[in-house]
Amino acid sequence: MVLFQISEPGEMKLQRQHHLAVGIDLGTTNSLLATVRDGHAETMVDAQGNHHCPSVVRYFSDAPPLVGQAAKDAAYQDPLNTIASAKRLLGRGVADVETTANKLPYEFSKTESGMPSIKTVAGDISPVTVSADILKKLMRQAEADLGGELDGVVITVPAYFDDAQRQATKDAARLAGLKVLRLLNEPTAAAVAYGLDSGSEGVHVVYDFGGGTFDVSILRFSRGVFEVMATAGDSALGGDDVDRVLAEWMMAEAGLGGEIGHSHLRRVIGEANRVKEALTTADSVSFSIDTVEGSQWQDKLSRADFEALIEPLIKRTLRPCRRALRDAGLSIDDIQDVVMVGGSTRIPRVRECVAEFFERAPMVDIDPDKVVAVGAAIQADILVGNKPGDEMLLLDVIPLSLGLETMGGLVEKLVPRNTTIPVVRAQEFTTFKDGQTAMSVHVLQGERELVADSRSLARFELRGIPPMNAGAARIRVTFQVDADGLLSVAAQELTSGVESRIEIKPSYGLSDSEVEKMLADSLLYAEDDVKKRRLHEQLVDSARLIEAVEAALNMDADGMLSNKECVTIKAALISLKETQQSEEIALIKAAHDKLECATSDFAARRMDIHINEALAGKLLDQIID
Amino acid sequence: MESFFSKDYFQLFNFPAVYDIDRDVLTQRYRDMQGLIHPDRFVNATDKERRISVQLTALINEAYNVLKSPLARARYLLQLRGVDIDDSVTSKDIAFLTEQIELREHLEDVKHGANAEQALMQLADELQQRLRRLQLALEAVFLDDCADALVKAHRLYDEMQFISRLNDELDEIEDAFN
Repeated sequence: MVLFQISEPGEMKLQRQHHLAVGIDLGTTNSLLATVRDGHAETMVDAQGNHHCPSVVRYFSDAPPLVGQAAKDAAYQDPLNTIASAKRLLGRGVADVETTANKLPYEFSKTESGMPSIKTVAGDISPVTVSADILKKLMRQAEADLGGELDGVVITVPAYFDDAQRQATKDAARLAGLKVLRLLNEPTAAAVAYGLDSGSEGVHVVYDFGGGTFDVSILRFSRGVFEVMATAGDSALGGDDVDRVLAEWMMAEAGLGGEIGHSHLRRVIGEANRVKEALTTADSVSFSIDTVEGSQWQDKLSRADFEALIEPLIKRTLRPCRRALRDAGLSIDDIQDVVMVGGSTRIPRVRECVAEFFERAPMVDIDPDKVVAVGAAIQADILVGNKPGDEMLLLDVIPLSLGLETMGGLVEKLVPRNTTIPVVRAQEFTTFKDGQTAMSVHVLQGERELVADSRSLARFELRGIPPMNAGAARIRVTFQVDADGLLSVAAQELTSGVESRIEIKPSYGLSDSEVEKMLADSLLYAEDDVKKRRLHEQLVDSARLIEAVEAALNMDADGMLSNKECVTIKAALISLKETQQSEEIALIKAAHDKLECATSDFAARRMDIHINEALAGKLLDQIID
Repeated sequence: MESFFSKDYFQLFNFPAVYDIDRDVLTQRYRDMQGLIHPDRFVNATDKERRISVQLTALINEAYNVLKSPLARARYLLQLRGVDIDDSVTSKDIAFLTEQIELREHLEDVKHGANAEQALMQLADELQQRLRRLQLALEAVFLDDCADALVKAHRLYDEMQFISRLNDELDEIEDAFN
């Protein structure tokens, strides 16, 4: 048991091993890696000295995919096989993509699972695979830099990501072979980077306008605890939209219709992006785009005209700001400062609008492109166990309400938005027909009243309800949201005990078996011997369990265990130690599970008792204070 | 030793089961507990420990939410003392019902009347003061051990619930103005 080992002098290892951990900002446009070295968090550079890795992957028919700048450079010449901004498609269904996809220069194919795939020369590629390929590249870079296998990573996600988008991110990490310590909300990560830097107590607003998403979070920082009070946003609004609006304007000026080729469209969007960035400092910028006939159309854009063009997009970011303030129960006067995050906050007009809205100049001390990765690295360093005794704690919230479909296509909310996670909530329902033996459970996310307007996360059926009169059955549905913001749902009929439990797999996400299959497929081409890697992971897991159980026995066997329990646990312990030598994953796993099972009650008892003792100590401290 | 999962919310935070609790002490204890049990402290622990940590943290979060809210705390305390609260049953107190109707009418008048914004703010102030008075009344009545104390407390709770809802509606109207 990690927590209490630390307090046990005899158990302390003389040399604390430094664990390798990184923070990953998996962005729409660019991804970044950061780590803590000698107590200082910094972004990591690749072999060419770049901090940013463009979130772009190019696929080939006969070679492994190319990730990063090299892929981005090929976007014009090979647009259909070069995937950018895949994050915007992550965890999205075909229907969502149809609205977004018209704006994305790819060809989509429909899949049976309902998840969109992109047609490439390497076959149909899902957005999860694209993200996994980016993560793999970052993992190799980090391992080469740090000189060893990573013990864990913290990956950031937009605070406003729903369950499907979070789950898809975790699937991508699993495909890449990463151990995810935590999915961390991007604004929270930024607050960590700032908060620990300045040490300032109070209420902070994080305004995060990135490549593809917009988030705003309001946090209170007090005595090492970051408490997210409210978060709001738009998971489909970002710098990409600024580029698109600008590109559409340029095309209209040049007399280009919507019917231009993928490659041509890519070039126009690329030019729009260049103009946008140049207008950050210049008052006016010249641009040129190809006409359909192949000649060049040239014109000039002033900053004032650019600002007028994108004003509606900036206004769209202020609505969530207002809502977050209301949800937090705060007014503008309560805000201590506003932190700017994300590349789109470089646009001067964005900064002006934020300053007007919050009535103070926003903070831009830390590079808005790096701040999220830096915060993630600090959190990863703590979670992996490199800073025992560190008191920092993040208390985050769920961004969107969770509910169930009830009669008449209405949503009954079980967990309202901005509830602190982890959270467990249960509600009882009943049957509405005589003799009804099954009940359909439809899980939804969003703020709207109607099922039709909400995001469908999953449907499952509770079967085997004994036939009863209508209204006699008592079906309890329990939602559990963990610290990553991921949901699992259980349904149980209370009079008979019939139970059904699922990890929420989004309606259009990957099923566990699909992830397994993709893992197996990727192994064929992987450079590492993955079987070896898995065995290694299992051995590490089991070694940790053995160590924890032995420490627990030494500390608490007397008094907390009966003789019989003690004998059972010791037998399971010896059995696991023996199978550790076998190199058979299945055998080790079975012995591992058996030991976990045998120590389950013991672990629960120990947690209760030790936490009670620790709290009693805290209370005593307060009295002395 | 008693398991956390069998304790009531007041016991979890080591408070006596009375209505008047110190918000600052509550928050401090909440943070101390989070510091010990939060899943971030168990990232490298065994599966069982991680599961317990999630459930325990969820329990503490729930208990904290109930205790810090004057309305939810009143409801919880009534339930702890054996009062069955059924929201679908409307009050039989005629005077209270009449007042509810009057207050609703007043809100409509204010909304559509002249100087709506200022009038709304004034009404919001009045509601806040009234909530504060109700809170003080609840503090007293929960300490009272006379026979009809719980009936009184229930009546105050109903009133507080109504005023809170009205207050929420007012917030939404004010938002619409902005």
